[in-house]
Amino acid sequence: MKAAQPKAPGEEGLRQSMSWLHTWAGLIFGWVLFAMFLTGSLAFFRPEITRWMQPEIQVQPVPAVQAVETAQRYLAGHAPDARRWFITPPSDREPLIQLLYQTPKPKPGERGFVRVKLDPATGQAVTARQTRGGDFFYRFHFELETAFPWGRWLASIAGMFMLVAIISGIITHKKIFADFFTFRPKKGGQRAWMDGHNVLSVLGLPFHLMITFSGLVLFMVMLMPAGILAVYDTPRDYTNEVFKSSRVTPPQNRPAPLVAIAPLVEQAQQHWQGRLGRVTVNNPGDAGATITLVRSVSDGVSYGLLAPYMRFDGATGALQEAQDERSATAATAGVITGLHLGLFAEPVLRWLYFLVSLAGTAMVATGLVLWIAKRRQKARPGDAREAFSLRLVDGLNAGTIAGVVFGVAAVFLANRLLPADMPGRQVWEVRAFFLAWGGSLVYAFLFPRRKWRDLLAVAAAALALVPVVNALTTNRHLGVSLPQGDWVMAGFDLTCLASALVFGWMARRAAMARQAPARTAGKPRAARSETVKAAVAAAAPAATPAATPAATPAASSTAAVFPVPHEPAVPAARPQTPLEPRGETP
Amino acid sequence: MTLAAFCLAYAGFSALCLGMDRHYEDLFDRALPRRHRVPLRLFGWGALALSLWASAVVWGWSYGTVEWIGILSIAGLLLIWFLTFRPRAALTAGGLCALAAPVLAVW
Repeated sequence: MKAAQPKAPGEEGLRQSMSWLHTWAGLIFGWVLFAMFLTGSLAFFRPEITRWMQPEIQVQPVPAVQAVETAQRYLAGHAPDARRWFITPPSDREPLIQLLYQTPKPKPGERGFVRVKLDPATGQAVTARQTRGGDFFYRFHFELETAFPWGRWLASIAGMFMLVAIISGIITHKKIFADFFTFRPKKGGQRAWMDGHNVLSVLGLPFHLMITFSGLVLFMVMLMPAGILAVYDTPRDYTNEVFKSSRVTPPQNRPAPLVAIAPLVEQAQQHWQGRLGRVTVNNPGDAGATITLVRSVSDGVSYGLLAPYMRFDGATGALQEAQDERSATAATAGVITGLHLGLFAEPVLRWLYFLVSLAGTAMVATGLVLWIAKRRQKARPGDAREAFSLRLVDGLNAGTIAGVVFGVAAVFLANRLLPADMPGRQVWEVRAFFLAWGGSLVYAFLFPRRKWRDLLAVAAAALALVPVVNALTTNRHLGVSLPQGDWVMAGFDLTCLASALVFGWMARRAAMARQAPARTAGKPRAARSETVKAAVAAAAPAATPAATPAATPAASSTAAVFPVPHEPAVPAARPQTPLEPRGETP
Repeated sequence: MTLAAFCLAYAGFSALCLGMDRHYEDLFDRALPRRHRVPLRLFGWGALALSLWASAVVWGWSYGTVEWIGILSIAGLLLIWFLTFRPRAALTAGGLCALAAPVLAVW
């Protein structure tokens, strides 16, 4: 890590082999990682994105005690014989009461979960357009829209490559401290991209390392099952022991009325001096009923997967068990996963998470472009074999970097443009994402010379259209949300606009770069083969002056999509599998 | 106080940047004198440490440390960005941040 030390024998060899590893580990999954980083950045604003995507829902949160009372009344009326109830009280970030219950006899092949959202003020179920909202980005981030274990495996393998790339990158970087503040876009070409890539990587290094490692830790049960298999008979035993609050308690098959939950909530909040995150009722209406209260994960850095809980007897209201402190091991795992999920973050910190995560997205993007820039600089005219690999990677770069951003904007546009009552509209929102991304890839290979300029411009235009279409189709546009101080809606629209500006600027740089080589034609450096010239024009020089900007903004623009965070997050509704992100053990 | 922590981080990075030969020469067109180097570096590290402290005072050490790391990343990226296109203004802003931090902290 230290700069300019006397070379030990063999050191150059290590650096070089690490450099090779960094280059290829980063390239192979680079495009997947770009999409994961970007959607993961958006996932920090999951509830806010969902709120923007269901503009017809406008409700105010109420205190947890009151909300739980409302919820119990609704569930007792609509699902008295359910096997389990899950109640998520409203928070400032998610002002609805979210209910989930499991019906006693689901149809074959179904798990029988029913999801309901209540207006806390009226206690009535809320209906709104069907959409996956921010959940799409959250899920895509670790499942890549691929069937159950495979998407998680693919994302995990990509994550491992990322970890390898980060560590080999640190070893390869000769002058972390000497070059700490160095960014020289005017030098152009490889140098500029290298500087930009270094700066984004080094400044965000604590975050990049943390997020990559903790992402793998979230899936440790799936990735490294050996320890659990050696100690426990079944993975379920492990889950029951570690995640006591989500244990399914058996019924006694004798009817008994359920006590009022609200007073228990009051008692728990007193005890914790904190907020309620979730209520789980097992076997309501049975003598074996239990009521489990879990503290809000936004109350502590280490509560990501394991927040303190209290369990009460559902028939008598007596406290059965409670856990406030955990072993050092569990607390460490809690901090690592909690840091990844970022649910504890208040608005300022959430924006920092988001922005640094965008810097990570830009790091991946600059790395991909750097791969091209480096080889372009060395390429000799007429070397057709070289040109093919360059064209391939450059096409994938343009089609993915601009295409995924375009895809994100397409989801939001589809959300507003598809009829609100169209059946299966949430599926079409997701299709819009893949159509936009796929279309961008096709375009990048059909028009290799114009791809960067055009695709960046398309992404910019799509982002700029989001607030416009929002204004045309809803009455919660900037003209209304800004005066009202409705920062979820306004922040979202403003972020889209800011991102559109950044992408528009990048598209302009790409266009200028495309013209530049033509002007300097005749100079030796410009005398490349046709294809190479085109490619270079599009990517390297264009980006060169804009190196970091190109990428950073790109990323940030991508990010464009985040609404202003509001208050603390409640762990969105993930009752049925509290350990969702780690992949539930089968 | 969060703003104070940010200003301290920015000021600290500015001082550390000025305390490096390359950036000092870029700005003043002369070599970095020895008598400037040590104070600049001391000030820089001191400001970064104070920034951590400021963040921890508001948020507690666990949350404050996480927030401080985020502040460092963003302050550093902003400084570098600014430095590339307006080097003098970027470092002047560092000085102003150093002056503003105590005011923000008290206020």
